[in-house]
Amino acid sequence: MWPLHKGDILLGNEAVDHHKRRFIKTLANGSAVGLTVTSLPAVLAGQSAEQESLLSAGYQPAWAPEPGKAAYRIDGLPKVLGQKIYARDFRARDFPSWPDKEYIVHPLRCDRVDSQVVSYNYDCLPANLQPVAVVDAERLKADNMSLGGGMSKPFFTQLNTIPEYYGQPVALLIFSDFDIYRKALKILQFNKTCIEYAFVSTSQPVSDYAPNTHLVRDASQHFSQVASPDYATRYSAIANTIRSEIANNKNWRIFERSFRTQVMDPMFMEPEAGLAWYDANNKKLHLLLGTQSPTGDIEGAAEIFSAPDCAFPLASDDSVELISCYPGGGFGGRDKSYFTMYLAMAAPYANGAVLRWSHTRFEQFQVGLKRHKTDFWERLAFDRSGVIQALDCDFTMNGGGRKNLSPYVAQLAALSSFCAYDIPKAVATAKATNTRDILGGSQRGFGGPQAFLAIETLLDEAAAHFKQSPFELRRKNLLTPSSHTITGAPITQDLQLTDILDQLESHSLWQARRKRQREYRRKGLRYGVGLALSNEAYGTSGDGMFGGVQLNRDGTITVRTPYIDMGNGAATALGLAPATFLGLNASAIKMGDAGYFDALGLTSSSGDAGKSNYVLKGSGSASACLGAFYQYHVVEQAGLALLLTSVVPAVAQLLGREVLHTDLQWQDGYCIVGNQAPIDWRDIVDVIFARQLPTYNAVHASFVGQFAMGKFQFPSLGGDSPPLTLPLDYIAAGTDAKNLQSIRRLAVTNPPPQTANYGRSTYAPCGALVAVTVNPKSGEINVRDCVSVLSAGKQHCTALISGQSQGGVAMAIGYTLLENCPVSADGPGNGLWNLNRYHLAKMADVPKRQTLMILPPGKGETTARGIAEAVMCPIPPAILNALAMATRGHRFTELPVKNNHILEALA
Amino acid sequence: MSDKQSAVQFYVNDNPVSASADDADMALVDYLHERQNLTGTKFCCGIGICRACTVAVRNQQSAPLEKLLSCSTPLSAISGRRVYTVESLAPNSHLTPLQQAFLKHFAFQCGYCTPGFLMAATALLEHLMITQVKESQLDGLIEQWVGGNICRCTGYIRYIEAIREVALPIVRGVKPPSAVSLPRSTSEVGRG
Repeated sequence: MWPLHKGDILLGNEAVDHHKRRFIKTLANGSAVGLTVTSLPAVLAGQSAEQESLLSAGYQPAWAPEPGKAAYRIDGLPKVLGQKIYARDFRARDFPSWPDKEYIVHPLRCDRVDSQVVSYNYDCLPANLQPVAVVDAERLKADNMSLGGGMSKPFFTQLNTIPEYYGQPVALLIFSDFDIYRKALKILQFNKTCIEYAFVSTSQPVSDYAPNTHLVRDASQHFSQVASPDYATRYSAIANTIRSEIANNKNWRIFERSFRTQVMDPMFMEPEAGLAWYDANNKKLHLLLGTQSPTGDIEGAAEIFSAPDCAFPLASDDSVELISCYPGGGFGGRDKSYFTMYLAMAAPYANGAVLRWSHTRFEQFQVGLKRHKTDFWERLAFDRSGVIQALDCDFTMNGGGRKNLSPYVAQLAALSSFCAYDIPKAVATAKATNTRDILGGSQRGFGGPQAFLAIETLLDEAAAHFKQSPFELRRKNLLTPSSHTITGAPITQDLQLTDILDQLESHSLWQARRKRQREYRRKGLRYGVGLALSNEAYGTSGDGMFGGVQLNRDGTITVRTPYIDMGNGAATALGLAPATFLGLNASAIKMGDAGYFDALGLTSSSGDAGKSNYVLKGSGSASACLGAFYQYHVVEQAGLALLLTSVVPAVAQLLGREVLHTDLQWQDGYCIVGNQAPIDWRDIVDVIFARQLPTYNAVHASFVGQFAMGKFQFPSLGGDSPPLTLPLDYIAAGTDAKNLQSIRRLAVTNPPPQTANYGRSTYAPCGALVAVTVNPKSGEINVRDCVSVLSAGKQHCTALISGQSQGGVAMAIGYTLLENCPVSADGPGNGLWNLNRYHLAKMADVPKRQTLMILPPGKGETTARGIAEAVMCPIPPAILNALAMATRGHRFTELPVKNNHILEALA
Repeated sequence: MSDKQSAVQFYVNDNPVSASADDADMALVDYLHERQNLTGTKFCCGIGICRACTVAVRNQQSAPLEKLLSCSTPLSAISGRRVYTVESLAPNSHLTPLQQAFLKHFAFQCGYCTPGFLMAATALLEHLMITQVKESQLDGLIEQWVGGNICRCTGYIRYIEAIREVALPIVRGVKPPSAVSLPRSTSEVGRG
């Protein structure tokens, strides 16, 4: 069992993909650049170790010996073998075509935002440890370097100005080798003499990052963002009317609280790191990174060098190449991270050598993207029976010193304010503020956790007031198939909310809560069980996605995707997707393979709407919630495309008659067509290659409330075959990666225009019961048990879903009880924070008896839901509701809840 | 490297290695990465808390495996000792039972912490083989030996299940020690 094959699992000289596809992008200044993003085949090199067993097991790879079922993660072997797969693992010497020489960066970062930087120095370094190059604002200006990646504030703090945020560098020191860097770091790290400040003010200006969000719905007037063409001119007046009614309606009972949640570090285990090489001879920038947004990153990197008089020009046809590595965790924190921009900017200053930049954990805490400090309040109005009549809420997120995705995170908080409930009148506003604090950005849940915390704790408070069970009160208010969201979007899925509540209510953790409370009381502990629902949306309000499959000469399948697996299991799920139509799991997958698809030259510019290469939505970042539904869809459809372009004609030739693709079935590596003798997959592959039928393809889909539907004419199916309508808007296929030809698209039906106003409208509801104990003497809180019920749709891999749930519970425990980054000067912005001050859940902190119940797919549901964020979302409010039970009704409204808060509540 | 320059001598995965006096204060994790091109051992916090950098060591040739935090251990502290990294597992191109169990249980996600868990648990398994332990004590021992390792992705449960599956037969005395143990080399420290 588990044999490995010598030589196959190690990173060799052929580790980098040589089948690159370049794509041309026009930057904002009008210049065109040729970009290449490749996956790192070594990431999944372990799969190539399995060729022997693959051929002896019905052509299935060892990681997934049955169609559509994984025995272990597709990326599992390299990870248990400690192979080089993360950006931090690589050195210049690992890439034969790169110089061996490596320079190493150390930034001098500002740790104050109340003072101007007067000067900087590195005089503390002796002569033998001096940097070989120094980069600062003046140097960038002299070299005509531009900003990139959506940055609006400069790379460096300029002298005699106040830093834009904690951790903004004033200069980069570049050292000529690791040994000098190592010794210099010992002197420079935490050294307060390197930057001289002049105090200015402890107050700082605060503005907003556009756009602010205003969502207003009044069902009685059929007013909503979706239903009302005059929404923009009327929402403010209607909001005032709703607020007035909440204030004045004597028949309504109002529950209102203000909340405050803390900054949370994603604390992915691999601090950001990468390599960059500016090849002056060929005017080309090489980057190696672990990122969630490879396409955006490479475009941003090119922008930095795009000024006409830039000292480091890029060739127009072959400008930037990004090698996309496996990220050592992400959770959103690597989505449009500025690390990439800094690395790219610094590359030319290594004087032809490869530049290595590896954040220390201190730096990662100081400048890595964080979940925002959020101040929010919410008012919920109920009628006398406990039915919600109106909602009014507001979320303010501290975005810190760079915009990033902060206003959109705030937007999702407003969009999520309904949670799982039908609320006829609602006002939800949200904004992200521009401050000098640590940087906010995307993080698991993306605004949802704050929204669910508010409504789910207020609901429990209301249930107590109405003397109703929290289950009963929730049941009265659940979204139904005829409900609408706060934007007015219809509910298009079976959300299974009643099933979730039923499962939780009948569980022994709930039924025996009073008995257990008495038992714990006898032990001197206070016990509580809390309930909460969440209804986290997956996807964004409009998503474009690429997928491709590649048939290899040995009959194996390689999946190609621009998507990123941060550990959530996307690579594994996507590796199973080809089995739907081909009966075969992928033997390998190329993640972050954006260049393969961008070379198709698709456009989503409205001015190109009549063109054959127009698609409604372009491909975006790699949020974890996009994998199971969106990205799986396109890889599955790419499998269908290979079936249609190549497998069906090959089978027809072998049978000597025409066949329909719907006639093909797969069993143990054989194609079954009616009563014909089974056809060996190897024979089909031989015909495909002999006839030079397409062995590479790439497909694109657009989803805005529903999929765009394209009508395609496949020439391989014969001239008289009717066109096929598929949930895709572009298909291309070819016999090599560089020459994909589009399949003729006769027509495409895009989602109706009103779907553009839906906002996110696909949901993965989750409910949870959490049991806690508190020690009234010490205030210590222990999470004892957790039961989650999840509406996941079709399951690609149960073990992955379970793992996501368990990880979500641990992260939520940290969020609710442990983790906290103060935004003040004594927080991680000062560069002194590490895991000695930032505490996240360890093994002892999580309940070992967790239960996850995954509901069977709803009626008619054939697809999976994006659950990576959903499973975390109900846990924080469930913990707070449990604490309320344990503390006889004390309502905690600030996170994290610490021992002293418990003692104060019990005092 | 001459004898004079070889200030610290030790073994890495049973290979004798020598480090210069200049490197004597270097953290072991840096040495593994920069001098040995062994990057399977991971750097995460750098201050010995997360334990992603855990390696296994023998203080003497016949001594049992212990855990060691390579990010906060200078080379001078391991002179003469035998260091084992994740790259030493899978001997003879076969995965160890622990590696198999980690795969089978989908124990990890991003995998960055996995080498640390593997090496800490490998040391635990050897401890179990030479110590009389009751089955009821096993979960506590897993937490004692591996509970300090941080994993941000998984919530730990699948790691625990995987380790327990491999450890339980040892506790019950039905698993041959060779199936889970790292080799105890007989070679001497070389003169680099």
